[in-house]
Amino acid sequence: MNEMERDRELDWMRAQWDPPRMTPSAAAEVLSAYRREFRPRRLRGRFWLPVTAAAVAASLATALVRVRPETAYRPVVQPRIIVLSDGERP
Amino acid sequence: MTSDRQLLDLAADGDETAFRILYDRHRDAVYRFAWALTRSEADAEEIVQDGFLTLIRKARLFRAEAASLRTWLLGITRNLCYRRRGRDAPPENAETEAVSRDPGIEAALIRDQTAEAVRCAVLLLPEPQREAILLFEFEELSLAETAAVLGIEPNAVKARLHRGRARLKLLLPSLAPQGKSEAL
Repeated sequence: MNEMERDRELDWMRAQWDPPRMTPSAAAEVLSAYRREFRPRRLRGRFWLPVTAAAVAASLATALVRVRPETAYRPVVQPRIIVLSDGERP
Repeated sequence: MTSDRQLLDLAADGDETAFRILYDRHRDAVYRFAWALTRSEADAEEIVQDGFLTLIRKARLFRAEAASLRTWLLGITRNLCYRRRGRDAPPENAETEAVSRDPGIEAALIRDQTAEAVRCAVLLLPEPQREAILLFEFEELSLAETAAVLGIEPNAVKARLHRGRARLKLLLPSLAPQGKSEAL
């Protein structure tokens, strides 16, 4: 059998075992370091992808409006006809 | 409860919540081990940071069927501690370092600071015994897990534990239960 029991004679020492703990600032620094290195990967997919898609769609729409062919419609300009009746003659 | 494997995959994909859970689960053990190896709180804090970032970078290499995440993480931590000192393992002559009563232990005992005396005694152990004692007796890893972290055979761990226990009892005889202190 390869297993081994913990030494019961050291129980009192285990009870007194009180190593130092990480300071809160150091713990926070680990999270910041994680964010700096790994968080942007997530943002690339979740934030920049939709933003890029919206920008591309807007550009396409603008381009479509600009290259739209002119229609055959022309505003009709009516010649102005002035009819002078006899009664109006001076 | 979400497994370490799942959390690790999520954290590697940028899930901060998963990283936080993983970090809260293992950071104390990693820090204690790094502190015991470096004997420095500042160095241990830097090593914890490096250890967790290395863990995420190498997430794809982790095989849950081969070892627990904690075992793997402690192995990474150990490598970082030794690399920091420019070597890969404890020095060859570390096992034969002479045992001496440390003034820190004496002072702590005089002040009746038992916890401080225990701390000094553990740090005074030669490195190979210190890491074996810490992992097996204090972190309560199994013999196989301790051997995996240290990269040695379980029988070699047993030998280190035997010598380490004897030294601890020799360093703190006045605190040990009456008549149970073992001679080195």
